[in-house]
Amino acid sequence: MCQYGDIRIVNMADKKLIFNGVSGKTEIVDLTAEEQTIRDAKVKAWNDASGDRKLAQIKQMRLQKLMETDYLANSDVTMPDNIKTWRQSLRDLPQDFSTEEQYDLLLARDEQGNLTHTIWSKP
Amino acid sequence: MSSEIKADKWSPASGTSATIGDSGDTFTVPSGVTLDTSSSTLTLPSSAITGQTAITSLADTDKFLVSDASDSGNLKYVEKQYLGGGGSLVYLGGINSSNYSASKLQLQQVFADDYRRYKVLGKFQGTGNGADVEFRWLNSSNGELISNYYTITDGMKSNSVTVSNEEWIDWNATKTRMFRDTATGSHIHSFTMELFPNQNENVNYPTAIFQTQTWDYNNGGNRQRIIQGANYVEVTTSIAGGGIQFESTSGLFGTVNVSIWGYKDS
Repeated sequence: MCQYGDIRIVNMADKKLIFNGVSGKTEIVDLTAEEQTIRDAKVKAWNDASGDRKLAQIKQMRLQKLMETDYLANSDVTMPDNIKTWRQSLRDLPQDFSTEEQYDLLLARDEQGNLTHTIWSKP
Repeated sequence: MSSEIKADKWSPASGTSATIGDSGDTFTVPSGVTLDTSSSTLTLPSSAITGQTAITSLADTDKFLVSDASDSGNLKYVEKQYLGGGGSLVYLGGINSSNYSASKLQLQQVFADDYRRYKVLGKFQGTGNGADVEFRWLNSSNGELISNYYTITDGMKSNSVTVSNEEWIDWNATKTRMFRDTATGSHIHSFTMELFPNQNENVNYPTAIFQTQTWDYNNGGNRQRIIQGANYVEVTTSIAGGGIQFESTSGLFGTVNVSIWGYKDS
């Protein structure tokens, strides 16, 4: 119950926008009950996999960062200790950050689109 | 009172011209009579064409008068269906709308025997931040083909500072991911596709080649991405008379403009 009284939540059907080549008509129609069931399951699966997608994105960003300093691992170069430590932190990301809230922190950006978490900054 | 003139030849009484009747008169050449002007010059009024009723579309059996070069220039007709012209791209239709908030876009029953290949151009706004847009084929009953999709893509993405490669595959999957991680708001996502439903071939593996330009959501750090890709669906049932579908994995399409053309070989 809210201040406006009883509100009954009615699930609105998703819609599909159709052009039919035989009739030449364009129309917007509700998904059938069967289509809606499939759609709901699909959206749920998509939402449930949100954390996995974020982790995949984090791993891709981590790979990019590691590649930028790979040259320091060459035998004729000495890798500074702070870079070693930073690269290890990047490798440890999946174990040190394991919840979706933590993924959001890693993926957070400022208004200019720059990543804000300090782990992405090369020392 | 009527009378009948019987003469073997008419000639002007003086000079080289003469007139038959007066304005408003009608002279009728009865059925069975031949008015042979084949050796003379016949001048038609300039309204012979413009004075007729106009039509706005041509049926295949509509006829055009031609001089047959292979037969001493004799007059003959040719039907519209034989005009050819070296093939053409025929607009079949599409969706041009704004803010219908649909999660699926379908071009149903657009494949026809007249065409073997198709071109699709489109753009859209909307869907959910980070959503994918998936492609599927439709059969002639508007049912979705839901298995055996084999897709490969590659491309580039950039946020103006860095550029990196991008690629994905959907192997033996339930759909083709054409767009990934789309951004909402004012961002417009554009694409072009070449479709090979193969409805006139013996093997019916439908195939699509596509290019997309999109703005990634990228968790708020928008970047532009260009992808080229191809898919084929390993099914041997024909999708003659079918079409295609785009579906967002979350969120709804806003402004949409998608059109399809058929390639006519001749």
